Amino acid sequence: MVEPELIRAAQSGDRDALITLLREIEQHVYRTAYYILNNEQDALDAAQEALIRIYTKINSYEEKAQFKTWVQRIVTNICIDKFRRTKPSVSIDEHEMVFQDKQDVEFEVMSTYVAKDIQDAINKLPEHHRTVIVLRYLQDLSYNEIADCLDLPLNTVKSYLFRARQQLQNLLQEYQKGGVTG
Amino acid sequence: MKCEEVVEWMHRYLDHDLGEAETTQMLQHVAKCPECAENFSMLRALSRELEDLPQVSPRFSLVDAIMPQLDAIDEARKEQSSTVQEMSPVPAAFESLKRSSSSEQKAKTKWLNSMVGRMSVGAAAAAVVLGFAIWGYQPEQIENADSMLMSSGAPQDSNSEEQSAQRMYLKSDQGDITNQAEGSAIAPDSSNDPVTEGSMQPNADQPDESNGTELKTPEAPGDQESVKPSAEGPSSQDKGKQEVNSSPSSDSGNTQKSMDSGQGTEQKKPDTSEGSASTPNDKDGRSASESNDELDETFSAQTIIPNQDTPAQGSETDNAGTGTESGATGGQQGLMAPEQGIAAPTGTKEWKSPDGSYVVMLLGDQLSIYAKSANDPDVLNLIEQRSVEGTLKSGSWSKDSQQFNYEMDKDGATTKDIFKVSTSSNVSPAK
Repeated sequence: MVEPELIRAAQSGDRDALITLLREIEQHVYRTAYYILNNEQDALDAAQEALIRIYTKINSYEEKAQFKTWVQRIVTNICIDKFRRTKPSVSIDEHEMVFQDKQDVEFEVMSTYVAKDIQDAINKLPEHHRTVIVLRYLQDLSYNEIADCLDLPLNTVKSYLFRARQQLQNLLQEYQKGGVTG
Repeated sequence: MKCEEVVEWMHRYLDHDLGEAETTQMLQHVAKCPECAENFSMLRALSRELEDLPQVSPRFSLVDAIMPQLDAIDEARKEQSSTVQEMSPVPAAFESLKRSSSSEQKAKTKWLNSMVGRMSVGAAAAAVVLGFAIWGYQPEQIENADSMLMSSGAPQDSNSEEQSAQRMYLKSDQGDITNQAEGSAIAPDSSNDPVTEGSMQPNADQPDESNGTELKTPEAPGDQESVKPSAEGPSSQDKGKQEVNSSPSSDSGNTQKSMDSGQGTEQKKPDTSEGSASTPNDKDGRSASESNDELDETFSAQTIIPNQDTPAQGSETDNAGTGTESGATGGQQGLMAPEQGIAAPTGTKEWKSPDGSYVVMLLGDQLSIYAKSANDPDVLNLIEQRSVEGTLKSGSWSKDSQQFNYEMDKDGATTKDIFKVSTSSNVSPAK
């Protein structure tokens, strides 16, 4: 949780405050990017882009919105953008490369086998479903906060989330049955 | 309680959205219904696993990594602010427009300046007034006003040489008369120019529009330029009118576009608001006070022209001035004014698939694809929602209703995207 005083200081032109603020949100920004894009390099790029955007646009943040949703809105927009741009062009080679790359990272961070399955399954969700899942579970946002973040009606957020969970469940069942896991 | 309803409650329970009473009710059902019980335990397990996903962290400090870029941004800002300070009377938007203009445009500017050399002082003063009016007014503009401005800017630009030439003739004709007379003499003429030009060339600005901001930016100075000659002298009333007139008329040729560009890019905004955003304020600010006096003087000389008293009316009515004024200036514009009013609030677009089973809706920058329920045609199931980058240019269904193709325009680049019905409906849950 970023202190309002820090945000105000940053907005009034205190560069140190702004940098401190960026350091505080850096992890959250990266986490969202990582789970939406499912690729470390893309996530690093997207998170940096988001931080730069926050740096330049800090004055456009208004206190009536929650700072964390404002931040997440920026990251998710960048990610969805990136996701769309890269998705059609991902060749099989690239895919494998990414996968290997990821394994190293995952080796450290993944505690269970199941987590990897889930992450694969998340990766198969349509972008908005995936985004909603990430905001709900990685950022711990409420329905309302997700709606603010993505500019979606509350009911749409709910139905995305419900459907996403249903899809994840189906996918994970498939994994268990057929051993689709790679 | 139906199982379907219970499933929804389960989801809400997982998201801490279910009240105590509802939770009890849901659990009671689950206790009795083995199917729901299984479903519930699976959902709970899944939700727990999602909650336990590793909290990944970047390998290095991202803030440190972007520090050089942040420094560069600060540098750029400092430079910018110092330039703006030097030129303080000229608003930043105008400045940046000038800077970003192409060399070709600069050549044109020079040409214009040399031709209009003696007027440039007056023009600069007018530009300042115009600029401040814009800044003051901008937030109140309807989004769609952008497009109207844009379309007004474009035809003007394409004719700027012609126009300024025309004006010049006018001026040289009346060169001996006093400034005021000159101003008002120009008013009726120049106000008519854009109308005819705007309405005759509704297409002329379309290519500009679709080519996006790159073209747009260099144009804007041209626009400014074309305003300059007429802005010379105290006849800001002339300018106001010209812009008002041209916006509805050219808009009428491009109603569709006004919707598209309603969500225009950030870049576009400053450019375009320059044109018409200024209109009402301009009128308020200047024609009400200053040019009224002038009008009185010139009235006797030019009583034939009905336009002359319209700006005064317009100035009293602020935004509505557009309507009033164009109504008074001619039947042609009068007809167009309502159209402009209709075009402005439009924000939603819809495409039905040929077989009627899917609907795509554009709301703001969200593109939503709905499937019509087989049981109840009034029920729409959301299949997918996408956000559109930039503006949506066009969209259409394939004949077999399986694909929705659309084109987006962002910063001048056109991207195509396809939404396939079959793939995503596979993913939607089977009930």
